[in-house]
Amino acid sequence: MHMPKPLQPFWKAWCSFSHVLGKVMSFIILSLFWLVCFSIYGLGLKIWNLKNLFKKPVSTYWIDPPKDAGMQYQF
Amino acid sequence: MDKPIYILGISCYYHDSACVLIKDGEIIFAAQEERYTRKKQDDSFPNNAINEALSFAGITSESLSAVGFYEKPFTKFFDRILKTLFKVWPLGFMQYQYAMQDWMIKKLWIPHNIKKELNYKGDIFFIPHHESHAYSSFGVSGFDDATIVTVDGVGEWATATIGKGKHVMVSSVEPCHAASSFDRAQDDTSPVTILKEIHYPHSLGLLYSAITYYLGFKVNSAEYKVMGLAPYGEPKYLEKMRELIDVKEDGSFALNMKYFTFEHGLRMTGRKLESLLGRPRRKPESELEQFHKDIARSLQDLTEEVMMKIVKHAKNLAGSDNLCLAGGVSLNCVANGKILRSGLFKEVYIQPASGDAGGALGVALAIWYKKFNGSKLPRMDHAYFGDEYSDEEIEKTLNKEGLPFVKMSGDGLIDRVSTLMQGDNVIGWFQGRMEYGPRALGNRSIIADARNMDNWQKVNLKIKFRESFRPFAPTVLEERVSDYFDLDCPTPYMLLVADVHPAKREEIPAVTHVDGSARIQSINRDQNAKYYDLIKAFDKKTGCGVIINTSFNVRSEPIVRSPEDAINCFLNTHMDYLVLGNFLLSKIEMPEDRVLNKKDYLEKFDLD
Repeated sequence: MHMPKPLQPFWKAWCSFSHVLGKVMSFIILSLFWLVCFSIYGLGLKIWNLKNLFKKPVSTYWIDPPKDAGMQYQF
Repeated sequence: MDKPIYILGISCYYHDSACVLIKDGEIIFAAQEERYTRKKQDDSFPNNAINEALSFAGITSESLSAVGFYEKPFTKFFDRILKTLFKVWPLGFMQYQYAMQDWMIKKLWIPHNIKKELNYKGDIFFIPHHESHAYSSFGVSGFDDATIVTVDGVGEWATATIGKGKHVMVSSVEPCHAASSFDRAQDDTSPVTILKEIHYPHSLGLLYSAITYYLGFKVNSAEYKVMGLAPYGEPKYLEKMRELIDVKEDGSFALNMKYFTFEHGLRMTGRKLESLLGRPRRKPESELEQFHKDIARSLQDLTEEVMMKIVKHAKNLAGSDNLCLAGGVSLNCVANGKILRSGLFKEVYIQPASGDAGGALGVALAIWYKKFNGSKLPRMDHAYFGDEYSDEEIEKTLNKEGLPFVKMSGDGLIDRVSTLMQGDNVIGWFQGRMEYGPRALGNRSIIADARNMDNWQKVNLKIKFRESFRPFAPTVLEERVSDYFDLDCPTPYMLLVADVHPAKREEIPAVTHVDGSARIQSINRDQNAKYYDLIKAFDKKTGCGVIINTSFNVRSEPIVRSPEDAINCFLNTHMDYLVLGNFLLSKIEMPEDRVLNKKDYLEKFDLD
């Protein structure tokens, strides 16, 4: 973007401020997401995982690899 | 005539970004991004390395037949990272913040980033992280079949895998010239099959990193220092360390997570580990005491024990007498040496960039074999795949810098340098193509006389500005390996440790570690003619076929790439001579105002 020279310092300052603002907003939004979604799911998972307390010890920690979807996929 | 098949492999966004370009199955360029950005273990998208690779090949991104990324980003984020955050809730808030921002901004947009950065419109492929490691070793091992073991910190879920490599005879089949929609992974002709794996958070690599952190060193960077520190200690804490990890007879293991905080915190270990080992974490750069050396030794012994069990079990599962190792833990050359000496395998192959930088090679090879039906490649027996500078370019740089130099003929240079090396001169040796992987193997090296014990401390303290305990590796003429070392096979990548013969330890004290071992690089003329000739000439003059070889950099600096980098390093250290191609520079002839501004120079690099 072309910016007249006298305005360039203001533009740079605005960019720096918007970067900080973005960080702060992301932090707030992510924190809310953590408190609401993660808390509900995390709590549910904790309860669900209580059954693992009664798991028998295993003789090996090697497990079979999961099936790969294929090289064209990111999963 | 069909167009050549160009495949670009990329690894980035974790540590050690790199790219590898292969043409019709042949590696034509490979380099890490850190060499260009001068930021050690840089994790950014390897733009500079890719541009250099394309320029070296004389092509643009339009000529690329396929691009590969070395892991599966969605599996890593949506499956492993999010599930782990749910699991550790209500802990892990800060890790959640960092991970979400990092992934949402760049790591979830890898195809977009690749297309944008390269202006590329073709196919992009992804393979699991440990499969990249497996291909990076087996794919260029030259073996028809092999047992494959990969061990590192973590990929998607896997932290260690056992696999089997087998090349099906496809010599009668021509390579496809377009990426096939048929994926050989889905049938039994895929050269690499992962048989078993161990999942995060149980990780031998992360255990090593956690203790590296406890010892006050930088994680994902200074693990090799712990390995070098170990011989100074005794395994007094081995039994206590068994509390940290449950190891089964088949080599599988589980960490006792109450001692580790890396799942939910920004640190690797916490107070429970400090209570177990009886001391708080060492502050970085503080004095190293015998306690720290004993901890390093105990960890090293434990790692070797687990690795031995893993490879034994792997052989039972995969059944091949050849072993391919890969993953960050395979840079533990002491463990590698022990595996070799156990006699379990006829041959062991470890690719020089066996850490994450090697993932770029792995995915490129996987695409070659699986998507293009490529034929078996010969063994990769050198690592000189990076940038190269002609004598004209070097001379231009020297003139620009205004430094005095002498231009010599090839034979004259070898004769002069082999004479200068005798005694206490330390020489920067810059030749040919830059090495791929973490080791300098004779083209971006600092070399000195291994017979002079004082050179150990001189190079450590006055040239590399690094810790005094750190050992140096020798380069030895391949035909003389068994004259000096308890080893009877080539080791071109400095990835095997073996004992120096007791009778030879006094002859080469500068490369003999305190326990009588050495991390050996062997060299033959086919691999690097100029470097071989230099050592051969030194051998003729002195009767000693071994020299010190350490990477051409100072502490925390990436290995030099260009003549400018080499000149900077030379001028700011106590190096005596610099050899750039056929040009020789002597420190005493350098203008006074150009030498030893080392403080400013060293401040450019974060401590590792």
